[in-house]
Amino acid sequence: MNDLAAVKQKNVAAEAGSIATADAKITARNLNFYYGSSHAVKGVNLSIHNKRVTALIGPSGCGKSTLLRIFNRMYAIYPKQRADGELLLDGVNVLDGNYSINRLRTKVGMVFQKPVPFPMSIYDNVAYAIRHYEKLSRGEMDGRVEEALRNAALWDEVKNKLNQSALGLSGGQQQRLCIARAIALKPEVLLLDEPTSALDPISTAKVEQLIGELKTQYTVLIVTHNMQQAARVSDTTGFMFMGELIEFGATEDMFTHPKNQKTTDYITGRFG
Amino acid sequence: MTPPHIVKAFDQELQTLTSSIGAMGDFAGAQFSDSVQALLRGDLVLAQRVIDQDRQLDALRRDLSAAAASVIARRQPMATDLDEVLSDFRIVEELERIGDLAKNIAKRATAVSSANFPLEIVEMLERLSALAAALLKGALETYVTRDAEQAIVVRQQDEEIDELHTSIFRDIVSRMTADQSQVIDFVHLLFCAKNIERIGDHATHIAEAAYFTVTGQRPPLERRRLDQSSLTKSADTVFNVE
Amino acid sequence: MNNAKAHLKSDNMSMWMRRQFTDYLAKVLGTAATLFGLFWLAWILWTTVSKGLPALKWELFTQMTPPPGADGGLLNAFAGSIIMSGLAVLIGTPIGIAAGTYLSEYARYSKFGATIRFVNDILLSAPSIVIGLFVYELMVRQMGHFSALAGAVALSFIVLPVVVRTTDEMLQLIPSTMREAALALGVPQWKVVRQVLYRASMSGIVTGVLLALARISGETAPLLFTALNNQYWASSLLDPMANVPVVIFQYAMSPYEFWHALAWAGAFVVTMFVLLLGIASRWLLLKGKNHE
Repeated sequence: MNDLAAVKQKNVAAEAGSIATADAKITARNLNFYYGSSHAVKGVNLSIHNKRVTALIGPSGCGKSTLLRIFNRMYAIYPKQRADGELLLDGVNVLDGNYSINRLRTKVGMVFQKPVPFPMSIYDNVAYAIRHYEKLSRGEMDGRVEEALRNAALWDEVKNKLNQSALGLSGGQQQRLCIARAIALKPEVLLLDEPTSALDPISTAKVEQLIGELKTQYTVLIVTHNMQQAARVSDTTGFMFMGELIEFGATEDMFTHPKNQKTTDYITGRFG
Repeated sequence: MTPPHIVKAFDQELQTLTSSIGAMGDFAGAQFSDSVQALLRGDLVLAQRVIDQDRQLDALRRDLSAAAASVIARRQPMATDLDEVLSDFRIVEELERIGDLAKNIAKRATAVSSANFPLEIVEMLERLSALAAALLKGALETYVTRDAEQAIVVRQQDEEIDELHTSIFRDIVSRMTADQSQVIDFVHLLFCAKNIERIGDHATHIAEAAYFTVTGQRPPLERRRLDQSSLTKSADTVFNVE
Repeated sequence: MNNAKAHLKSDNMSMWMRRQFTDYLAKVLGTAATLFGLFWLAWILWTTVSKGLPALKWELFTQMTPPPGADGGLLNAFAGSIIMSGLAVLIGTPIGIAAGTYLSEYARYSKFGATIRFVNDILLSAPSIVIGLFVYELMVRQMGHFSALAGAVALSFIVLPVVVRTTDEMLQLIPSTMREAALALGVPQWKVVRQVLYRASMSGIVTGVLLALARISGETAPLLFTALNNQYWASSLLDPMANVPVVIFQYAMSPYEFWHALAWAGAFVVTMFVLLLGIASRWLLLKGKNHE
């Protein structure tokens, strides 16, 4: 029994150490967010590991999606929404007004809850943003589009109908197309806002498998209502409640031995 | 076989779990063989090593149980996957028990003087332990290869072990009544024989768990029980300690 | 116990019948009101068709408007209507789309935007004769004579609010997620509007333009004060120009039987044109929806 406790202690210490020392891609310091006068994210501190999958879970309205939308300043398109505190991407504060919002968004890509293909061909959906940033020859562009579609595990399903409308794809394919579109720009961070909540279980499994592959190249941050999904896909999990980050640590421990009672209550289905 | 999971990491975790449990089984088997060797040859160094190494088996059991729990927590296995993980838990427990029994044999090896063992008893015990070791090996193999049919065949081998154990039991008891001077050694040997027989039972459970892994069901027919030692009247009154 | 149950049941029964009756009454009243409205519409259509169809002849499209007593068609009036309506759409559409885009994409949440939207709604429902008078003051009085150009401008004032309104609404109908998805790629807003949002709302905006065209093709009042009429070909846009609604108005008021027939034929053609536009816009919207 003593033995076990000692080992546990050691594990916790080792893990805490690894979080502190692992190279952080994104660091939040005392991050706050406001919708008008309502305080939606309260003093969050965290660091997101480079090239790992980090999941944010918590009940509806806990602020997890809001937190995610700070990372690419998506909130900026709406009035009366503002963030303060520090959000460091590779050590540079992206909340700084001087930091170009479009540059930030090329580095931090995002995929949304509902797949939203643009009303154009599959090819153009992927090429759309690349065209804005790079002048490529037709051949180079073909290569980039194929690469993105391959990385999104969609190439084999669409390679014969690249010029057809993207609106004709199934929901699961549309979502992988959205992922392809986001990674076509070669971002460094990928934000996924409940990417499978509109998908059936098989499409969900495909996207989850894809997330596992993406982390070799990107730092992935996923918000999900489905905490089992967080357990399946993530390396690190954060539990949010009422705008606060209650617990943040290795997914394995979070779902077997959470440290905070609130986390335990939530993941065991006792509230939320 | 069954097609792979869409999420490849899930397959990987299940495979890692299986091969780790297989390795734990090999280790438990080695502990068992060593303990019998130590007992029959009076090898105290070997006995001590078996005793010391049992901790590793305990650690393996803890880690692999945690790994299986983590698979349940993180992957939410369903249907055949759930059967598989549940079997994993059972097999880990059985192996840990086998380790404990081996350790117990090793401990007894330090308390007896093997030089005085009658040759017939030694030979019988060697045969018994060889049978149990074969059963354990076979059971682990059916588990790793997911061979339900073979699992049914393998567990039948336990009958032979039970029969042999019964005759060893009777033999030792008759020797004890004839020669009171060696009674302590004989008591230890009796327990060791019983331990080996128990190891055979645990190995049988592993074969049954292997069957469950594949089919999701308990094996069809209850195995015939041939171990008569606990029915031996003269022994019943004296040594029925378990 | 049994009694109470029976009582409860009969109570339920009477309530159930009452509800069924109310439901029936609502259905009857609603159907009657619909039939009442349809009756007049059918009557108008029937009159137009029954009087216009017999008057329809090939010369209608090949000959000029005749003087009293002579033979003729409505060629110059059709041509004038097409030229002025086309010009009005050409003026009103780009401005309308730009303004609608501004309202939806740049001023959606601002007070200024709300004010413009409100004013635009007033313009949308302004009596067309007021618009005619306004352009009369603005252009006809300044230039000293009636002109096709003034007519086109007056019509464009009717096109404008319709296009502003539909563009604004169609853009707002696009789920915010599409806007976010495009902006999240780091593409500047004006490009997102042009390349993604217009594409997504194209069928709706075109429908708006078609509806605006349908509306102005029957407008008489604004043209009465601006383009007036012309019995011949107008040699330039700065001259008065013949157009179907005003010709219908004048011929219908006249004492000549032949002019009456021409007016009915013109009314029939305009009605059919508006009907066709209506069907076309429906089809476009449906197509747009299926595409989503």
